[in-house]
Amino acid sequence: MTRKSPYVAAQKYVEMFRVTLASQLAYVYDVLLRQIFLVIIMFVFAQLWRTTFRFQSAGTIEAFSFDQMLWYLAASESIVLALPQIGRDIDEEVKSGAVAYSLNKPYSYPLFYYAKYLADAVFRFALNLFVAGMVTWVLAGIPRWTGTSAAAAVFSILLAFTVDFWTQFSIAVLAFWVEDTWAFRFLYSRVLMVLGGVLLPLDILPPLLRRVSSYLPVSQVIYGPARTFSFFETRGWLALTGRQALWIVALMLVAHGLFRLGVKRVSVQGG
Amino acid sequence: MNSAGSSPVIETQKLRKVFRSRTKEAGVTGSIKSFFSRETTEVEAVKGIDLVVERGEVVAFIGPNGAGKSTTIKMLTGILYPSSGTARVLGHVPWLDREKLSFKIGSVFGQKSQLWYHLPPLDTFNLLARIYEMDPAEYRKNRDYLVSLFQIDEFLKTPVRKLSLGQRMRCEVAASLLHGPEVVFLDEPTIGLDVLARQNLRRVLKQWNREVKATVFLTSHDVGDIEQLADRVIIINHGEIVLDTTVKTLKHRYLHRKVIDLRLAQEAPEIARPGIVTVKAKGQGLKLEVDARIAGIDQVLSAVLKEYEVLDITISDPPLEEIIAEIYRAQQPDGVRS
Repeated sequence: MTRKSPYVAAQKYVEMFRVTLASQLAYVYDVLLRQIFLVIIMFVFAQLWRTTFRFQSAGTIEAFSFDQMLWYLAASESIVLALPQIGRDIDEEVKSGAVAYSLNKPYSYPLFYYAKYLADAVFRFALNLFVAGMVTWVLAGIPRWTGTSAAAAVFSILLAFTVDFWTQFSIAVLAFWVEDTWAFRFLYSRVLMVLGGVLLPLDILPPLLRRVSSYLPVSQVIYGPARTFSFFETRGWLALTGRQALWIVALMLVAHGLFRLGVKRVSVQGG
Repeated sequence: MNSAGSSPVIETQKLRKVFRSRTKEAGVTGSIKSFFSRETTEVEAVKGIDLVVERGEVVAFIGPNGAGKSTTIKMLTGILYPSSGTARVLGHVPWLDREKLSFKIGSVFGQKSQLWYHLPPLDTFNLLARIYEMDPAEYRKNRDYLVSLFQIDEFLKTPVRKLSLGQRMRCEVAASLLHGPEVVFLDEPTIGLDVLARQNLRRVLKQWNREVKATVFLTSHDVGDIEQLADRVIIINHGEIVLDTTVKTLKHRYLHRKVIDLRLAQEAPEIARPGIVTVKAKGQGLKLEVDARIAGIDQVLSAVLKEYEVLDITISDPPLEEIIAEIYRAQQPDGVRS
């Protein structure tokens, strides 16, 4: 048997997406339990920002009103809590030797993991946003969405997941060289937390830091799409999409390059 | 299917793999020292082996732990790059044409799973059908055949985590055969299985091979796997092939000894007859080693049952390590391989 049409070849990634979704549903109680954390954190954020806004006579902080701020945080928390730890999975697969099974199949290993990642991320994000959205609706009122802004936000979020995937994949394939990629993964998660805009919009940071972080991939993962979600403006969204696309291309090239080199170094000893 | 025609299905020349690993002295001092000077050691896992396997052969590739079996399989399936030497599987260089080759081969690594743990095997089968780009009709035909052959129908829709190891292994093997591979690599397929599950899997694999006539490359620690499944046996030890012969010859030369474990109703006696050695006689337990060429197993058993009241009995092969040691001993005088 040899390779058939590109459509047939693409079906394997679609099936991987579907199987991953089915597997997620097997964990549905675990996923629901995680939502408790999201409810608590949204409530704490609401109290903190309500107090902060009380001291602002203008009623806005860097153009964000209280409800926009809370909807921003609902989106940023929903994204960050949806990011699958694919880097850890690949690292373990390389170390345990299970990579032997994954490598001798007729598919692209990175794309196969991308399909798996996307299914995980989309499922978790949808659930997170539903819960965070309900809490935010109660605490801050309905969001100022239009059809265009919602579609733009969804598009940005899908690109955000793609940026995060290729970053995590690039880090994970370092497992072919180093014994443990934990330090790199930890560093990435902290930078994502601080400069990605998880806890507050980057608009609030000092100008230099804001400028630097706006070019980093971490801000394309969290800040960009979360801002689009709560505060849509066409020009800003187009700039974000451009930056996301550039980072995706760059990270894909790095990830594929590292993967090609790494596979030649695979060292699966014994059974 | 295969363009290689009558050429060997698997062919290697001087295939060699060297692993490099870092070493570190024990303790905290050793850890600190390793920051400044890193020492590496080289382990030559496979030492330039030459192999030829023809279409339809069932080859048992055996050896003790660390002998180089799995490393060889991983090079033949394209997962590992060799340090030197060449290999061709179905006309492909495995590590260069891994994706093309993967359509034509199947593999089971007994200690790793390809089934989705929280999903029923059927979900993995559906995914594999897509991965191997199978036509729906072809997939259904192959799946129905394997489901019936491996008798996995009743738990096809049960999550894998709820299956016994024997059931899971049957599903693992069926999953690897789903796309109709021309060559199947079975790496310890019966590892961890109980006697019944092992026999069941061997029986099914044998039937499958008889019907499909695929080439099978099997590694195992279990002499029973080799006796019942393979036509030819290649023994590898310390990365070198020490024996390449037919199973028939192996049985005649090296598997003629059987170990009989008995539990008697009375104190176990020492038995000394031609072809029988008492390995252990303690309390009611009696362990005999029988050379089946001199004393037939059936004769030994009927003699024991006639003279003693037997509570329990087990007949087994000597461990693979002993057989390999015996092969070494046999080769020592002239150093000629079989």
